[in-house]
Amino acid sequence: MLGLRFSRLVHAAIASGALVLGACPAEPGDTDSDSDTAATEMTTDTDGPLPTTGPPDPPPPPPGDITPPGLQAVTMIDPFTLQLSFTEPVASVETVNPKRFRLSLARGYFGTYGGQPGTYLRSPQYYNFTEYCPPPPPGCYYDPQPYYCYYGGCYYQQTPPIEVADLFNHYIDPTLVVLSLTTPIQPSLCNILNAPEDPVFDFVLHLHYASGGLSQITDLAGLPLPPLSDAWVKNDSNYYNYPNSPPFSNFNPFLPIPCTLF
Amino acid sequence: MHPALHPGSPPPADDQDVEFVLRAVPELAFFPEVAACVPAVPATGHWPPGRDAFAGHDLDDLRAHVLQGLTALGERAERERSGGLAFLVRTLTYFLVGPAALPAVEHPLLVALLLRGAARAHEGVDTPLEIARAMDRWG
Repeated sequence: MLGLRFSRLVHAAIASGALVLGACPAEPGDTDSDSDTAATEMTTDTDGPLPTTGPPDPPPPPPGDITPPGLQAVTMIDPFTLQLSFTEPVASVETVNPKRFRLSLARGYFGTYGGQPGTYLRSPQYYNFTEYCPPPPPGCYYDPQPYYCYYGGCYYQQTPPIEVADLFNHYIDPTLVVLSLTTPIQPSLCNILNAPEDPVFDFVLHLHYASGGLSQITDLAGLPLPPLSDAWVKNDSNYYNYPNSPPFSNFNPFLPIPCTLF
Repeated sequence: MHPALHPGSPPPADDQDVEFVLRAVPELAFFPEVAACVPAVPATGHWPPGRDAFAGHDLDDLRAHVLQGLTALGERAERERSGGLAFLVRTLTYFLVGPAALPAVEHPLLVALLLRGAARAHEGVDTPLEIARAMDRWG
């Protein structure tokens, strides 16, 4: 993108000092070096190094596990199942509330000049359609069919919300957790992910997670999994926006769920 | 008009402000100081044209004219005490000539003016909004 490339060049030029924000750069003498010099002079007035009272204290013993678990990837196993990969084994998730998780269809806008870049979250159900073919009314099985039998046939309808129904530890690998969904993912949702219609937009399916409280995901040492864009979990609405920021920059980590099912 | 281009606008104070000011380029292409630089562009088949439509074009004249226009805009910024406009002019000039000069099809103001030239063959698109949208799809 033209705007993104130019923006990076401008920030690099500012960082290098080639470009300045204000019209008047700082005066040559108006720097912090004076105070640094004064501080240096003060320290050089001493007669030598400070006396020591003995050998230094031994270093503290190495701590135990101080690194919280991290989410590495989310993959689709089948239309009803997601698999979460963690950086280390996690404790039992039996008591973890599935409501801590929420899926979003995140739309990133990469434009610079035609609007603000940002990330716009929507409930995936709005893009998840199933084909419904109502049975023909009685009396339409004969030939020729009466005119009221030509009622339109099949149509696509929106599915119920795609929510996390339950979660389980993987039965072999302790670094994996499996999520089951209330509604299956449909090809229409994958089509949005795989083929955005406009080059300044990108769509990803993303999982959000809210931490805190007692029943949360932890590693074996009890350290909790950090939240992942949890505003979407705590928000009851079907819409949420992160305007005026690079697309998907509010996801930390950014783990789009690839669709390889259809 | 973009707030950064108003008389009396402050210069950008941080990275976020810089981003905001840089978005004013499409409107800057409609200022009279540079509007005269809009080149004559052969009609293209579709709108918006991409960078490929201008591959191989000699755009040195355009660059020279835009430099004059930016000089005049710098004087306007000083006259109107517009810190946003002054920053934008400095930035665009920095990347227009000299060691940091960008290819014409990478320089936002040159691109905006090229698009304005192409827009003449398409009714209703020679507006800041349509030029902005076309810049986002420039590639």
